[in-house]
Amino acid sequence: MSVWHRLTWAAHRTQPMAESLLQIKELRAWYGPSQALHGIELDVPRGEIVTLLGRNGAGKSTLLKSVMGIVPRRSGSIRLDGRELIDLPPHRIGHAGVAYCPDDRGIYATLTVRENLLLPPVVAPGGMSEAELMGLFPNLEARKRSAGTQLSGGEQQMLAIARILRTGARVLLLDEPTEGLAPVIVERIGDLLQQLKQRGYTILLVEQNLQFAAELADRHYLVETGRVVDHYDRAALVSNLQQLASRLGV
Amino acid sequence: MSEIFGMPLSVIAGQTMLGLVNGCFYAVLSLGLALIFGLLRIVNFAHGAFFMAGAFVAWMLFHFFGVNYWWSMLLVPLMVGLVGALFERTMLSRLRRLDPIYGLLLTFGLVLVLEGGFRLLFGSSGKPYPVPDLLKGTVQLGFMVLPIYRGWVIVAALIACALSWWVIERTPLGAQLRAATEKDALTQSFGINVPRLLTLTYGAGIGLAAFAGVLAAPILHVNPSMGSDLVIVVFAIVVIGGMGSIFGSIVTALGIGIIEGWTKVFYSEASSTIIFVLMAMVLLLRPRGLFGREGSS
Amino acid sequence: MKSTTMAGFALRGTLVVAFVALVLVPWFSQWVYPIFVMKLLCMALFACAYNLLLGFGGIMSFGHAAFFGSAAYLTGLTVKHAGLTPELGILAGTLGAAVLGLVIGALAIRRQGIYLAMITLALAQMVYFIFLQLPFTGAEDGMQQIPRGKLFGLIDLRDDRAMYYLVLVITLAGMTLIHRVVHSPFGHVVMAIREHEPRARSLGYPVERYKLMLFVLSAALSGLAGSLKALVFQLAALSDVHWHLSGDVVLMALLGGMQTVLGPAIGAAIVMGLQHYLDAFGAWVTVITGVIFMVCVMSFRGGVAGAWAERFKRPAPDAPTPKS
Repeated sequence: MSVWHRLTWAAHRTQPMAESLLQIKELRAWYGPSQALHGIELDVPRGEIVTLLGRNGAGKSTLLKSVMGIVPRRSGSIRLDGRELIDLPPHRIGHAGVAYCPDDRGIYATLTVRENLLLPPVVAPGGMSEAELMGLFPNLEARKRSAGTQLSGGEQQMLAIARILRTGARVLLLDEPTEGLAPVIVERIGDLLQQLKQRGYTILLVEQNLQFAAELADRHYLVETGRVVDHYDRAALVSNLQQLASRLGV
Repeated sequence: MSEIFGMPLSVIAGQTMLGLVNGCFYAVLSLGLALIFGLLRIVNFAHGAFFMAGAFVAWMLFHFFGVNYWWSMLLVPLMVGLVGALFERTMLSRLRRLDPIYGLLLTFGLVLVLEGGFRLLFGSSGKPYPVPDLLKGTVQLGFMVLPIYRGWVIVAALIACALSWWVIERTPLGAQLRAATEKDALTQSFGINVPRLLTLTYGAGIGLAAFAGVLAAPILHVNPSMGSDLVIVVFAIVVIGGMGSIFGSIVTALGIGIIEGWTKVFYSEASSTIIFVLMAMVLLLRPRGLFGREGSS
Repeated sequence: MKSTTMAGFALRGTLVVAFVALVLVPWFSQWVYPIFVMKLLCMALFACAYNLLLGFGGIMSFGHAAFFGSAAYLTGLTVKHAGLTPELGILAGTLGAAVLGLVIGALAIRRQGIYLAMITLALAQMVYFIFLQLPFTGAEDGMQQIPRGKLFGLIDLRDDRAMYYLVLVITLAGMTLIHRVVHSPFGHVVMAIREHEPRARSLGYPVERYKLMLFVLSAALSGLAGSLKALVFQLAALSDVHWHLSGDVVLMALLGGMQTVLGPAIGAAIVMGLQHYLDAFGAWVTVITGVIFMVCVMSFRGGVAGAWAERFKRPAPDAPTPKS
């Protein structure tokens, strides 16, 4: 870890970190000849909600994709509970208990709502059953035979989250789950994520909505041009909110 | 006797039936081709060669081991499909990251190897394959006489298409296939082994081609070039029908078979070229194909 | 800069040696059969003309035999049945191939990539069937005894030596033309289109027109090769329009090296040599051609010319290393 990283690491922490579930070191990623991540360092402690903040194009989505293994080229170290993921193909990472929700929701047009829900295979015990999920999201139950993309934006986001809850994966990577959604739905999603945290899920979240991130998360990493440049825990974020907001240009 | 455009009804009905039988072969082959193209984005030039291989393996099983038609119908698609899956796993899959043209070229090379290989083993002349006893003979339909075996071909082909449709549209495996076709990387991220799915799909497509080969063995003479001329016609059919839709490929194939049959009745010199003329027309009027989903890329 | 001049020197040296060797062939006819070399030159021209479209234009056609063969038949027709002199026959064949290129090209470029390849294949197959059924082509036997005639009414081409030099001159002229086209303003636009079509389009270039022009040019030069071949062998046959030949020319381009002007000529030499020496072994030719094809696609995509270029290349200074 470089000196710069060590300094910023300690910058905005007021409490010691819990045991780390996901440890990322020296992560680099390329799309063809252009490099998108220049040595990401971050820790996601077990059972916490962690957000990635930053401007558009900073590399936040690329970071999630790199953890999942779906970028063309990456290097470095990604350890999940001590197990190295960097050399694994995406389907093995999925099997290791990591689930991903892309920023475009990734709902399949050629599958029905129910097929979308049931597509991801169960990778570990403890996931929610189809019945539980339909109970949690009655809208989906009602439309289960429609094509996936016939749902509204908010419903598609619910579906995208619901289907990964069925798998038993305990680490969730969510890319801008509240983007473009009505405040009522945003609140519902916030409640849902709180519930998941209480159930012991670990969530890494990309968020543009600073308010949402501040209320929800235990920890925040600021990403700029492919590097982690700052680190805030909950209290530190609240006290630095204005400053951070202007830095992000929101 | 009734006539249409100066042709007796029995002749037209007979040719329509033959056209339908041809269309059934086209349908099973374009189904396999569309399946492979949809998921692997590869135009499988070797499709015709595996069709030929299917017919030959059936013939070899019969000639050398006395295995009858019905057992061949089961074994041959499995055996040839396995070879296809192996080819995909060891060679084709390595070309995934490159321009799809290379996949076409590799399968073209495979055609030469397969055709040349069978020619070396068995020569160029056609080998006869007997119609199974159960299906021998003809049936009097009033307006025409139908050979029972050809009726069977229609039934078997339609069953194969219906079964394939059911697997793709109504089973979880089919859902995985459709998902992987639509979004490869995301589907993998869910823990679905897409590379293995690709191998399976290629093997299944090849198996379908081999199945068509077994069906064809009693009708056509089993010879090394029986596949290649056929596959070019199937390419034209797939361009006409549009690569996006499996249903579209089947419907187009049946239709083309019938049109080809009618052309033989009324203007027989054009019967081998009518398909390409139709393809040219479709390209001029509706480039993405009759049932095509994607844009004219 | 040293390595590029070395490469340039070696290349120029090889070209000079090859040229001298080719000129001297008729004088050494007891060692090298002039008819074989003539066929080689025709195929080399065909392969280079094909590669103008594939390697240079990035457009894969799988039906180029249609242009080669129809020119052969047309030349045969004009020289044998209409009694024209050979230069007119060659002209007729080339123009006919160009027109066919216009028709097929206009249809094919409505799609791209794989679809385009399949369309060219299907349309070429249609051409095959048409020639199969036309009366004057002689179907499986082919159009035989095509007279070589007197070039410009003066030079008797029945003399193999005269025929040879005609083929040599035309082939070299054709390759020079290809080289000129590649390095012309037209060629630069074609490269821009290949690299990034949307950008070329947004700059206002009529992309379809350029592609079509390239197609027609490639077809015409392929036809030129076919016309020559008809006169050399005094035969035009169905094998000249068969898709096997289309496949052969793809292999020549791939094997020789698609990224260079002359690479396909090398590929033509290799494939022709192979087919010649394995001819006695019947279907082995097909099998081995297929195996070479597959090996090339799997691990030898630069072809011979690509491998040659590798030997003289120094690594680019800015290549990204994993730990950058």
